[in-house]
Amino acid sequence: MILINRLIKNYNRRTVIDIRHLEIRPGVITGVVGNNGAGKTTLFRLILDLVRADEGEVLSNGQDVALTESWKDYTASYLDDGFLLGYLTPEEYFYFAGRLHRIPKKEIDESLQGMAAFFGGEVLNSGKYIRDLSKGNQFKVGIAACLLQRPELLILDEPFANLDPSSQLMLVDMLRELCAARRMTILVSSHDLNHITGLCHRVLLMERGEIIKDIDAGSDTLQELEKYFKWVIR
Amino acid sequence: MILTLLSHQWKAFRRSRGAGKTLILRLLMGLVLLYLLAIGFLLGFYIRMILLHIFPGQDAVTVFCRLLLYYFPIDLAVRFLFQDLPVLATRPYLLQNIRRRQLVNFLNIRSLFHYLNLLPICLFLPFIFTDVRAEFGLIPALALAGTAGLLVLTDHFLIQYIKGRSLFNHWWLAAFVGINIVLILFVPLRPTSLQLFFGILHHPVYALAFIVPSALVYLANRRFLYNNLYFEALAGNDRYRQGSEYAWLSRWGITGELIGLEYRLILRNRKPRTLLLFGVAGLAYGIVFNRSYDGHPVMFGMVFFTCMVLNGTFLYKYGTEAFAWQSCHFDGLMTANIRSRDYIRSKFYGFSVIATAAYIISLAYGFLDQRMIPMLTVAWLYNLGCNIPVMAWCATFSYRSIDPGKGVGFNFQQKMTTSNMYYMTLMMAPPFFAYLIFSRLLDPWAGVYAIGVMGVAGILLRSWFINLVVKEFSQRKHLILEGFREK
Repeated sequence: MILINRLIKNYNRRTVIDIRHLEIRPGVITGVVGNNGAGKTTLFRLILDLVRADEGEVLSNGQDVALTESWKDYTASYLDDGFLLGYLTPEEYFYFAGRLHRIPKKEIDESLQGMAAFFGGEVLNSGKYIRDLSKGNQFKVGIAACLLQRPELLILDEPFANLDPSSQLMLVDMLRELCAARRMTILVSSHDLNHITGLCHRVLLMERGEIIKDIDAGSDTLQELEKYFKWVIR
Repeated sequence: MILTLLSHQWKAFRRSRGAGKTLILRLLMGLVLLYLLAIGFLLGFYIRMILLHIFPGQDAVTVFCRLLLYYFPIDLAVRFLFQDLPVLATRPYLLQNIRRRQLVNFLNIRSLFHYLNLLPICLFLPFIFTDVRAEFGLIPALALAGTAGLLVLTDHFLIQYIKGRSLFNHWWLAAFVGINIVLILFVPLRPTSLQLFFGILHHPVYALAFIVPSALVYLANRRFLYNNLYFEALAGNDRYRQGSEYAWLSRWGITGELIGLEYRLILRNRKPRTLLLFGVAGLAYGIVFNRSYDGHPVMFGMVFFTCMVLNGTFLYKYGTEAFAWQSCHFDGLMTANIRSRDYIRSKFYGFSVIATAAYIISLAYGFLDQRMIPMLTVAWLYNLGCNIPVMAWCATFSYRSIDPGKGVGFNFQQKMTTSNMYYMTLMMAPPFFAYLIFSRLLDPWAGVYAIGVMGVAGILLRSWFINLVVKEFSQRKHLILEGFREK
């Protein structure tokens, strides 16, 4: 699905991303962990062509994301509130996202019905513009808009950070289901090691722009990660 | 304290994305500014000859005093279009140990550095300190200069006050424009002007009276800023927001979808909405300039260029920042399933609809004088064909984000005024020279029609222009993204 070759990005003469080779296979949930400044968000931005790489390339289904736009057909992402159209109502935003993928309004409404519990009654028919919603609800709108586009590739940056505990658990379930039912490829970063290890098939540990560990998630992954994060502060 | 704030502003400017990369652009802007000031100075030195040329056989100082008062309402009209509110991202300072008074003083002092305040110095001082002084002596000349200065200050702070007020209540805007137009057109200012300024020349003490209006406006403005530094806290609104769809746009597919998005952005955010209202109010100003163009090709040209500005008051300001208005969610737009070409196309066609709407409204001037209709049409065609591509192209150089809604920073005006002037030059210079050449060679109407032909050519070449802008946009996309992410 995603193939990264010799990807390098520098900011102010500091290397923030340096990845020789990384392949992300379809239908796999991949978690990205690392302390602040490890390069998680920059990696996502490079994959989404929001940042230009200094060297190397990101191939999405074999196409260089910096040279083509066809990846937009099957990719949905939510990194931060810079992805939301704050002056729309949530409904308008969902329909807009749907129309960009030629999904009829009726189907969007059905998908939204299915997510009613996730919204907790505060998003739909709220009579508010997205910018007037709370941070957590804004996040829900962003994530929901991604899900109802039915993407093949979904990229979420720290989706658990702004959600209440119930929604976090619900999100974990929804992502698992989507991956199983539709073979969706999911790329998610988080500081919450419990969720990451519970959700992901594969965990990438980043430090100073490099992937220092590539772990196939198993029962001892959580301990392994905890050991690293305790060690790294010494 | 004020020095610290100034240094912060300077740092924000220096360290912003794209500073330095556009050094040549800045140099050009500087040159344009210098050129305009030089013209001001030249006019100032030759004002006596100009006055004697237009009013032969009269005393230059008398004529000067008779016309001087007109400068100020017209100055107000010009400021209405070109003077922007002062800027400071106040949010980071509100929680620091800085008195609000200091922030407000900073904003007021900072705003004084404006070319519209420099212009009267260039225009009036040479004449006042040569001719007037020779005739009346130093003290009366000083009094006259002081009066003019105080009136300029009154204009300066009045416009700020009105613009600030109209961010909250648009009736201020309407009332101001109405009164201003009546003042220029229907109030006979000449006798008043002569009496007033001759009075000051004979009794210089009277000049002190003009401290009162300027002080009043200054204080009103200060109080307004003082009370509204916390405007963000008030911005929340409990009204129920109903979604809306623009069905008539849907036939244009994704382009129509994006145009609908842009219109909602304009209507639902305070700053672009106010800008739009300024544009509508600006349409009314045409009436001031729409007079007596029979005599001279220069007057004729003035009327024509007024038509162009009428058609584009809103667009010129909005369009040159076409992407920055969406800076808050630009990441989202660039990853959504939207092709760059559709995105740029939506800008072209969305702006065309706005220009056309302004054109239809401005056709009302046809009732005053039928000859305005072809002029307005040509202005509209030129804006459609040539200025929309220029604006879209300019926008690809704009790396600074704009918060269209909340925030007292008024940061849509963070752009240096000079960059606006640079864009205006790009938009106005080609038709200006075309007009100059053809009106000299043939007659003024030939000049106008030549511009019309340029406009039609631009419309025919539209898809080529779109491709060009898409190419430029793709080249700088990452710079724009990076700049917009810095809030």
